[in-house]
Amino acid sequence: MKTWLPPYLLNGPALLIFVVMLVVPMVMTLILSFNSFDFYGGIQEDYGWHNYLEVVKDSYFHEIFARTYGIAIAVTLICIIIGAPEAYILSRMSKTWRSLCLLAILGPLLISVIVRTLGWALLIGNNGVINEVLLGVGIIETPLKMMFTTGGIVVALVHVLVPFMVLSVWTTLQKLDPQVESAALSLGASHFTTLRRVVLPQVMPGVLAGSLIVFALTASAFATPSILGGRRLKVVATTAYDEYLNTLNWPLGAAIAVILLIANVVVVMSYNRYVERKYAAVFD
Amino acid sequence: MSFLTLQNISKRYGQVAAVEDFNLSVEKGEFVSFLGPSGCGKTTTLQMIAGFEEPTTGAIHIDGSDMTHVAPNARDIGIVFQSYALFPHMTVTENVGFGLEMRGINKPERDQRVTETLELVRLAEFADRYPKALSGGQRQRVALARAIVIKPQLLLLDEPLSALDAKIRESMQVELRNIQHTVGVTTILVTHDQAEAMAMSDRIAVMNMGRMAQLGEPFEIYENPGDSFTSNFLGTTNLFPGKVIAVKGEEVSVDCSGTEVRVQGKSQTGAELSVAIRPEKIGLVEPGSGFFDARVRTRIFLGTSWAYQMDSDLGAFNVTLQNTGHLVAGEGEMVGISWQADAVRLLGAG
Amino acid sequence: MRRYDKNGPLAMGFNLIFLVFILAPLVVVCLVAFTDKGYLSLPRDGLSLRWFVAILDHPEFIDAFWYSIYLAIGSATLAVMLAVPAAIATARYRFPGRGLVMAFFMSPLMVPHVVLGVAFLSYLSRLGWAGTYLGLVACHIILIMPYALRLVLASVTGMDRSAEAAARSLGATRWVTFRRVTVPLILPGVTGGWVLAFITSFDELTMTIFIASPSSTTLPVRMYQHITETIDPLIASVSAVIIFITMVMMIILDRIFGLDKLLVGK
Repeated sequence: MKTWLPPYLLNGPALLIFVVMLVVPMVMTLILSFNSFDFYGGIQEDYGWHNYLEVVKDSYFHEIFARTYGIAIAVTLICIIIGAPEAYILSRMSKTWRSLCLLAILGPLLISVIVRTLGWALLIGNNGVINEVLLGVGIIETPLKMMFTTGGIVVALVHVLVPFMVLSVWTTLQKLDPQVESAALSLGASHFTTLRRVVLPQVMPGVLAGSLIVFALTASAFATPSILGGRRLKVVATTAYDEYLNTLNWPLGAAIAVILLIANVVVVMSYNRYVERKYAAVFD
Repeated sequence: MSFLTLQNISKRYGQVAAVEDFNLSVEKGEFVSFLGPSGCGKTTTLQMIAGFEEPTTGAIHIDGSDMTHVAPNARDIGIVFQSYALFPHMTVTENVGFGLEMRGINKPERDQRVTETLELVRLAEFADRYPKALSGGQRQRVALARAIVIKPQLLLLDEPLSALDAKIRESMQVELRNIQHTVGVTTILVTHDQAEAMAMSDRIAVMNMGRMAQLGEPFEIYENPGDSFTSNFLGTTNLFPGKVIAVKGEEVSVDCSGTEVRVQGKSQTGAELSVAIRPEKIGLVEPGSGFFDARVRTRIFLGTSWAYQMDSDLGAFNVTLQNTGHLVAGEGEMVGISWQADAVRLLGAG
Repeated sequence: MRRYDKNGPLAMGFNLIFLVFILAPLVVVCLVAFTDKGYLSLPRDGLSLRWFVAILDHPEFIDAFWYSIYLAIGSATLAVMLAVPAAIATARYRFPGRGLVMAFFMSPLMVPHVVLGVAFLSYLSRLGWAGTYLGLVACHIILIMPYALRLVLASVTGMDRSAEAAARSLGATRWVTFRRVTVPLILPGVTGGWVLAFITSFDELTMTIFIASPSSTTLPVRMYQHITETIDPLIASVSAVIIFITMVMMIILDRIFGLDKLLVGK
């Protein structure tokens, strides 16, 4: 038997299904995105950039893309601001407490997004728990409007995605030599200086990796914006869904999906480039 | 008053005592080692001197001022950590300059002192590298440079050579000792390696189970170990348990499993104790002409010496003979055992 | 030397608020599920199981639950069966395109689920597989393969190969060595990969919603459809059941693998 044969045989089944179930559908979607759609005649077998031009020109889509990436940036920043300190605090906890807190923070990742989003709908709805409590205590007289607002979507997405940030930073912190902090202190650095000059630069790769995951997942989030945003606050993913399953304009939906995919890939690739250039000399 | 004094230091974690009633005075410029097995409290003691742990009781003074509760970043102590704890995101220069920067020293002076120190540790040409691109020995020297560049009152070395290969470790021992002499800084070394402690220190504090077992110069405690723990931790020792049958002035006769052994020392008739003799101080003579006879069980050639395991009426014991170029007694042969009168020590029962 | 908590009161307070933020929505779901009222409300006048009992009158949820279970078992098992040989090939052979193959298998992680849904919908409807069990399984395999492969690969890479050499030197055939030495050693990673793949498949909504038909509706899709029509205590009680089941699985997983290791894939 040739030595190069076994690895291809071992990979063969998986490669086959990936080609049949991933490459072919993706290529077909790409082709579909160049077709046009007639409200009466359905999908037409012609090719052109018109779907892409429509997305680029129409202010309706501008607003949707701006909202999607605005939400993604906001969610990523908030996740950094609360997730990174939480990971640091976890790393300084006693072992028992730490495993309990980790379980509480990472566990929700295993619970369906739909359940977690429902929790927020119950909390922030007009008849929701927060309004019920605030009205009951007498702080407010009319219910606060939080459901169907961008703010509500951001908070819920932070909740859904912040575990990824904690996990990412926590993994980096674990690789840190605890004596390095002691070394900085012994050389006369204050606790704050140690945190800023010694700990933070070392966890930056973790923060960046976490940001990447959070950003990409927020930009393509569907369930949370759909349930908490309602019909009017559309994002890219819910727009593609509507084009497919309500308007039935598959070619336009496909074009939106392709743009979303390309944007995601560009962000991930340029991030990897950046990290490689910046950290290759420093970290393993 | 001594430069560094530890007075009645204890450290307890709940019911567990890590360090118990530890006293030590170190003179300026002195090199003292804490030697002991893991868990003996030597690292905890170092952590208390550094300020990372607070003693449960007792006081620490450096150069006359009470440092017991001073924060680690205000103690002016240079530390070389076991893992080196270099800042991976900083170059060698930035690593070494960090402590000077924290002291608000301006850039020109900082650069000059960093350069001088890197020359001292022979790392000048690696100044712009990141720690990742250095070998273990080089990282170790960066850690040392970073600790001494701030001209600390006190230098603490926490198992600094334990991560190095045997060969580099030996050359680093000499280098470290030389640098310490050049700089003249008072130094505490924590180690579990008795050869390292003996090679480098002015004095050794042997520690066991949170307490100081013995304190003294390397030669002195090697030759006159206070107890069986110290005598076995520094080198190896043959111990023959026995009972004192007669005391004549400075000469004690001990009955070891039926054989009478005479030892110089003090004791009283009827006391249960051990006769201790180091393997390299035993001589082999013709059978019947020594104190007693023994049979060679195994003989191993080590290049500079021969290592014997012997069986005798007193029990099994070890002998080390210098290799003089002549063949010596082989396995299974009977030999006589002798030694110089002052080579034997009496140790408490154990 | 970390015997104690090094956090100050400020950090402890931050941690507390963070935990409340993380747990509040889940706690609220569980509380509402126990309400004794006919509408959304906290159970202030007493706990009631009426909404859990009500699930039994809604076979569409129960059917969707079982469909999700079958789908997750089928796709996780097939994904692991594909992942094990692929991991062995990647860990043990140097061959042209090795890195590329790996990147290819990991690529679904980079593709937004909505894009996968869009692509699978037109593909399956053209093949006439839309809404079939096999069609859904095939799509889920693509989606969960990266999770399965990452853990399986980690265990194959981390395995001490000298144990295999030892077995061979003691006279075992290749097949016996694989069965008696290799499989037991990579079993924890394989199991972890299967469980993670199962959970990912079970929880998936965004892609599945495109390809599910009324006869092949998974539980998350069914819940989504329900929520877009009405949010009532019934959906809260269904969610509470899911939270409970997930919690039990989670504690088991944490005991066996450590949750952070499972999710990071180290």
